[in-house]
Amino acid sequence: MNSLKIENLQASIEDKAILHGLSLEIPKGEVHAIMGPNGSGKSTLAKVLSGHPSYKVDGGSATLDEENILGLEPDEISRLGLFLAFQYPMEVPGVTIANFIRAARNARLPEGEKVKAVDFYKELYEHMDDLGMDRKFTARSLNDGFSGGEKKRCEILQMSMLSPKYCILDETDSGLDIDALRVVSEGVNRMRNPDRGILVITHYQRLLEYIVPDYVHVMSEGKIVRTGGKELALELEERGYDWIKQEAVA
Amino acid sequence: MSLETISPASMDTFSLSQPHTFNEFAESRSWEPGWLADYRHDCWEKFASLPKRILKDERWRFSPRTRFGFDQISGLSLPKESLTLAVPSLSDGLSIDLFDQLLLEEPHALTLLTKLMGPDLGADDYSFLTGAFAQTGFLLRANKGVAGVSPIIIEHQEPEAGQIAFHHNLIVLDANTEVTIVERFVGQANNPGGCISNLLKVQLGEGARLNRIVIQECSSKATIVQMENFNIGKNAYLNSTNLHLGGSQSRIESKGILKEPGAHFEYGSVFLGNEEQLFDQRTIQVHEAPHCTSNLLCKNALRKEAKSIFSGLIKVDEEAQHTDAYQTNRNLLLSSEAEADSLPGLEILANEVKCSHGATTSRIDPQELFYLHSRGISKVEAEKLIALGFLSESLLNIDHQETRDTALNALADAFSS
Amino acid sequence: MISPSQVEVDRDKGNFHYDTDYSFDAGIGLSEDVIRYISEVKEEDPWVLDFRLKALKTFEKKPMPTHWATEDLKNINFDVIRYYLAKGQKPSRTWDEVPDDVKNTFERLGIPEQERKFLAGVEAQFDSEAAYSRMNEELEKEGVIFVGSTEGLKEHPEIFRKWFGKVIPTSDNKFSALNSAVFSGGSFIYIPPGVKLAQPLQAYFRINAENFGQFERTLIIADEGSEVMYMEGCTAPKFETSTLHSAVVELVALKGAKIQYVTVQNWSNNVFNLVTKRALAEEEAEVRWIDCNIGSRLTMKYPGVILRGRKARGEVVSIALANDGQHQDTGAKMVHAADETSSNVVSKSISIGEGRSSYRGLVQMPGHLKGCKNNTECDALLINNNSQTDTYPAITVQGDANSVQHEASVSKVSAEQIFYMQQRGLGEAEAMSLCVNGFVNDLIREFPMEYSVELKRLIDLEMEGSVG
Repeated sequence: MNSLKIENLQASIEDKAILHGLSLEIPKGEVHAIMGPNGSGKSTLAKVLSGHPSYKVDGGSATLDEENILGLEPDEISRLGLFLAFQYPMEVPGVTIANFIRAARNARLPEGEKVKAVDFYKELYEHMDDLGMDRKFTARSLNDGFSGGEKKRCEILQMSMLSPKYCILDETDSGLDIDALRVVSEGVNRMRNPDRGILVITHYQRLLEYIVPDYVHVMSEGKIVRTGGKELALELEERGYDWIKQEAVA
Repeated sequence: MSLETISPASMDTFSLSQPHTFNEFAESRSWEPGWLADYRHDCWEKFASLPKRILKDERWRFSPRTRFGFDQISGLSLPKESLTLAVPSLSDGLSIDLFDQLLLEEPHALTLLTKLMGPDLGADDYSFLTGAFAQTGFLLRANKGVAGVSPIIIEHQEPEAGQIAFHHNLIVLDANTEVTIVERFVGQANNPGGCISNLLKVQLGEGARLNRIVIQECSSKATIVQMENFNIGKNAYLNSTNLHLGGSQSRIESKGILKEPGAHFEYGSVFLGNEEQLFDQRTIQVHEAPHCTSNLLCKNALRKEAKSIFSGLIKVDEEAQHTDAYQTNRNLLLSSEAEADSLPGLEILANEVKCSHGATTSRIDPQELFYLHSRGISKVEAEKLIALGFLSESLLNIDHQETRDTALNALADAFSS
Repeated sequence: MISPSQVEVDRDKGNFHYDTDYSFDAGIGLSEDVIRYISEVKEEDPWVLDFRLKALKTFEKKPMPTHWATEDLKNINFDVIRYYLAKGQKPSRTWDEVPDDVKNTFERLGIPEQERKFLAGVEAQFDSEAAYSRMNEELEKEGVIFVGSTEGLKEHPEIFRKWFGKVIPTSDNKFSALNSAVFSGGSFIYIPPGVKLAQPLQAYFRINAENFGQFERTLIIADEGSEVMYMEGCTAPKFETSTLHSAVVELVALKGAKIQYVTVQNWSNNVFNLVTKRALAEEEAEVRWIDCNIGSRLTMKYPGVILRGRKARGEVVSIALANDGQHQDTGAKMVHAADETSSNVVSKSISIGEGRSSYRGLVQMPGHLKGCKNNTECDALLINNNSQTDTYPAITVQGDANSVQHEASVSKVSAEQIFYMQQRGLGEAEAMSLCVNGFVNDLIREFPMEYSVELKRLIDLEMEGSVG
């Protein structure tokens, strides 16, 4: 079956266990949201799935369209079709956005082939226009000196240019004002289609008003402790996370 | 027999470079314990075997070294007057004692001195001579967990013209202690023009904190040589803020070694130069352990023909990953004859580091001057205000309010004189 | 993790050599006889021989500068070096006349092709003498002189003798003295007043023989209001034993003239590259040293500008890349000697593996001057945890009418940056390469287009050899 499938995933950093047997399946065409209190392991899940070298996988499995991704290099996972929109996108001085995205596109082509500059820029400009980004941005260094909103737009721009099979958005709403939130959400919504699965990680319900999920999962202490429809997000907003934690213990 | 009567201050044909001077001195101290005599002798030998003339010693680059010669020195100062303490009531476990007293009462405590080396930044002659000839100094000790409430005040007295004072000092703070000291270098009123050679070693145990403030107001004829070693242990914190106002020539050598993870070294210095004053400063921040931080800011404002030399090095060893180290030298030139030399260096052998240095030398911004001018402040006064603001910034770091005010006032006074 | 490898991908282009017969050979080692031999085959005037012999004395007297420089200098054995090797003293004016082995060498390095594409003049030096030297005929008509040092001193003494050895005196340092004793080859260039060259002049220096020392001497005089860009490149095959390259380059920019001197140094990494480069800038003149050091075992090079005329400007833009077994010890000297002069230094270095890069700077502003400015920025990037960088600037400012600003920083490419780029599908090596290129990108743009493309490629290759 075509899905991003995580089963009983256990992972740790510096000998500290963070994920304690997490299971989750995101079929293509669906949008899932993970909510949870700080420290519940949401960002760790995103990093582990992307192959971050600081984390150690202690057990379980993760497959992308039935292909194992655990233990692969981050770039291999990326080329298999998993995209992570970072909570804190890195600044890379001197490397322009255009050159960076072009290099990423070229990395997806067979050895020796390259994207055509004319086609590439046409496509890039279209996506930038959609996201309300000034075309001058193409010549700016990647995230270098960007505001919080500019960084997040740049993440969505990369996401749309790389057309991944599965997207994970890690706290994409953090640091965004309401206008930026709308633009970014619209960008994500444009990417919703039957051939793509999306996982939205967020602490607040606010983002889910713009990107309406099919399912909401609640994460606590490295596990999914509850799954429901979009109304679960509202309940969490109202009641906080404590009741879930208590339920989970009980 | 009192100590004074056997002091060789009035020895005939006194000359620091002559073996007979040391031999006579050693003779007069024959009552001292054998280990101390050996130490003095060892230091003397090291001094005597230093190469006589090193033509191209990088550690003295830009420095008119002859201004730090020994030819004019004809005797040692009297230890009793040379160093005095003003000690508040001390908590149990915190003590400060003078070298000469300890020698009579608790000589074994002084054995620590024999492990005292100079910072090895150029003035080896002074550090070895201090080991050989020092008759006074202080030993500050704090046992585990002790915190001193008010600052301990130490006064170093400039000797009379022609005399030299050698001070040999040690601060040992055990784990989780906190102490504030103020070291004042006081000018000679009667017959100014002496020389002070001051050697200090500081050792901070885990989590210890030392706040040290130096206010140097020697006469305009004095020679000051300060050699400082700071060894900073795990999670320990050292803040040394230095205000240099007096002296004809000063040589300051400061070495901060970050020995264990979590150590922090904060070093600030301010020099206001006037007439033909020379301020020759050499610093080194040595990062031996990972996860340490150091920050150094040296500011010089120079009037008339004053000259400053700043030579600083950040050295990051291979093991010292995750280092944060900064070094800044700012010079403000207030006259057409003033000169500032700057040698800011980095030697980085680890790659997981954040290191930077900056050095600027400039004049007062004419726009700034004009602004004050337009408010009716005279040019002279405006220059003073701006320069005072430039320098006093570094003194605002002093935590102890009374001391901070003392330092700020001393600086302001120096401007109006 | 990223670790240095033994691959020497970057210098493959220059790493070849053809066996060559030399008609002129001064033998092995340095002596008065060697100098007399060089002077004789060059048919020099007596004053030149005299100049050389005096320089030899100075060289012998001067100690190695190991009180501040690296101890590696002690590994140079002056007694095993061959100081003069040539097939002849007269360069050919067409490539057809160049002997096959030499011509093949330069063709492999792409020199004739570059000449056709974008150069106003080319000199190609093979060991001690230029094998080929030609300049655009139009320029010749305008009075531009572009010849070798031997020809320059013999044919145009009225122009070159006046400045020869004046910007860099023989006794400046041990290696300038050595060069003054045994110099051969290099370019002597004169640009008449008001002549502005639209295309660059280029020299290419090739070391072909083992144990050979190359000592070219370059003097460029840009007369009032003229403009010139000079580019030099260099390569050598990788021999078992080390080789010495010790040039002296003097630039004179008269009133309002502009000189840009571009170097791409890519010696094989057993070459000691100890070069003295200095310029004199008169009123409103501008001198820019644009310097890239990728090759050599040890490079010591601190291009300088003596700002002697009012409003003169000096600039050093430099990129250094130090890989395993390399020490790039580079920097800049700015001596302000007139009012309102300004200087700018931007230096970026990258240390890979056990490579070491050092910056040494000197800025001087005496107190009788007004309105002088210097700005210096040095940034170092460390790739591996055994890479090394040092910074040793020396700044002297007198008086209350000048200003100097110096800043230096050290950083590394963080693991998080690499992860971020990998998450977009780039391999680790490619991500590292992009970051490093990004680090020097703004400086690479200062190089002429034809060079900047080559530079990017070189840095890419160098990184690929180091990652993985």
